[in-house]
Amino acid sequence: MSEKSSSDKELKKKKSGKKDVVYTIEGTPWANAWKIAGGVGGLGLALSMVGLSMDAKRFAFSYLFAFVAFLLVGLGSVFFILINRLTSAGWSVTVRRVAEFCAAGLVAFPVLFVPILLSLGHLFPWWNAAGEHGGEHAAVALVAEAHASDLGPKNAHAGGQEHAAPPSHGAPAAAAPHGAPAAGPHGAADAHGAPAAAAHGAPGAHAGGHDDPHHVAHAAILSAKSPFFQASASCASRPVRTPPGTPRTQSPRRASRPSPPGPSASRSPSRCSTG
Amino acid sequence: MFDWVMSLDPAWFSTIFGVYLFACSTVAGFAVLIFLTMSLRDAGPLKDVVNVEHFHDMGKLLFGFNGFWAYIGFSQYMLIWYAGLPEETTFYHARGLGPAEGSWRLVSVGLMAAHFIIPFFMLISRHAKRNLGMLKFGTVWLFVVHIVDIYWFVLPNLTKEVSPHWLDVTCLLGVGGAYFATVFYFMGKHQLIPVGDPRLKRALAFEQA
Repeated sequence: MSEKSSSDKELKKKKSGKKDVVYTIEGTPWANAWKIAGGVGGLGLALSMVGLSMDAKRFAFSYLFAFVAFLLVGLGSVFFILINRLTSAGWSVTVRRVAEFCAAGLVAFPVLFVPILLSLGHLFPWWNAAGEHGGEHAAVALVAEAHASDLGPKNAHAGGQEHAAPPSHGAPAAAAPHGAPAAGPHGAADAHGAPAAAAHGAPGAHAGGHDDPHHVAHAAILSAKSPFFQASASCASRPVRTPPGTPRTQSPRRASRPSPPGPSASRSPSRCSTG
Repeated sequence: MFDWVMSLDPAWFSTIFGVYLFACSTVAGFAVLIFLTMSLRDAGPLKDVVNVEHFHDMGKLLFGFNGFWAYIGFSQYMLIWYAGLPEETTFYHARGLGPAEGSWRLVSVGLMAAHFIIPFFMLISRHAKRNLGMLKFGTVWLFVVHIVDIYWFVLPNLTKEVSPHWLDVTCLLGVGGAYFATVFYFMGKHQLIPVGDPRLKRALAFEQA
């Protein structure tokens, strides 16, 4: 009540002084909305912190989801302001401020980003991949290994030693038994979407290993990409390779599969010549 | 910004993914904008300055960009499906659209219906966009579905099956509360319409042709 009367007074003062009409949320329930939202937010964040201490990984993903969901609201508002400014729109002047408030709320996100920054290791296990092969060296090594594993079973173990950690969760479409001599290049195609994740590298070589996130991610990347690398490798080295009809060291399943999603032996030559 | 989502799976990439999240942002932004404007109008401050014509226009934008969302989502799916490259299909396999169907499949298919087909027919008519109750329902619907959409982007990278967790809710409330507390705080500090804007008169007299 007192708020309302004070706002009325202010309104009158402004009216008499500057001939301006005042449009504020003072005196409406919206004046306290920020306290309510702040309370809900504080409670939510406090409970989330409890969750962080219980399950840091789950917290990381849940928090990133919530962060992106609301960050996009602010960015969408920025876009609305942008198109209206760009086109000098007249119709939207009365609603533009609401979008501008939503855009102004974006200043909260640098602060809200801190938990993500602290859980980068859970979200992006590869981000600090400067370990044994950092930067470009890692990429070069990836390609070299993929090629080596395609060129013959005797080389298949080359990469196994370093990347024997079994892919944990994240590898979305199931890791392929890359590098295992018996499975051949089609491991990835066969294992597509299968729930079982095969260990990257020869089973015996280094099986238990360590769960260094770098190795896990590395193995997952490699196995997900290996069919692609092998396709390009077979294109490049086709002249010196055995003709497509010759049986290679492949799993027999592969030949019987009608149309594996990945490049197959029968398909890759035509891909190279006609493509 | 979209890298924070796309890089959750380091082996997967999609050049349209940034556009995808942009489409999400427009839908969410317009939904919140319409909802807040409508609520402020109901509460009083914007009663005389915003009318059904403004809501009709914002509804058109919401409807149009929701179509854009579907267009971009389909573009990504269609190209990945058509090429069938194992390194790209992983995204949809993880979301139950591959040979191994999982519970994410329900969310994937549900999103097509709930994020596009249902709101499309809900908001397509001029009458629906000018009926403020209907439009308000549409914005709430689309905002909820937007949150499910982001959930569908992020969480399949963690769990093979849909597994809701109480942390999803608390994080959502925490971040959302903090964000809207900031929004409402600024709202209390300023006027709700730019009273000095030279085009304000035009906006007040606005009427659809």
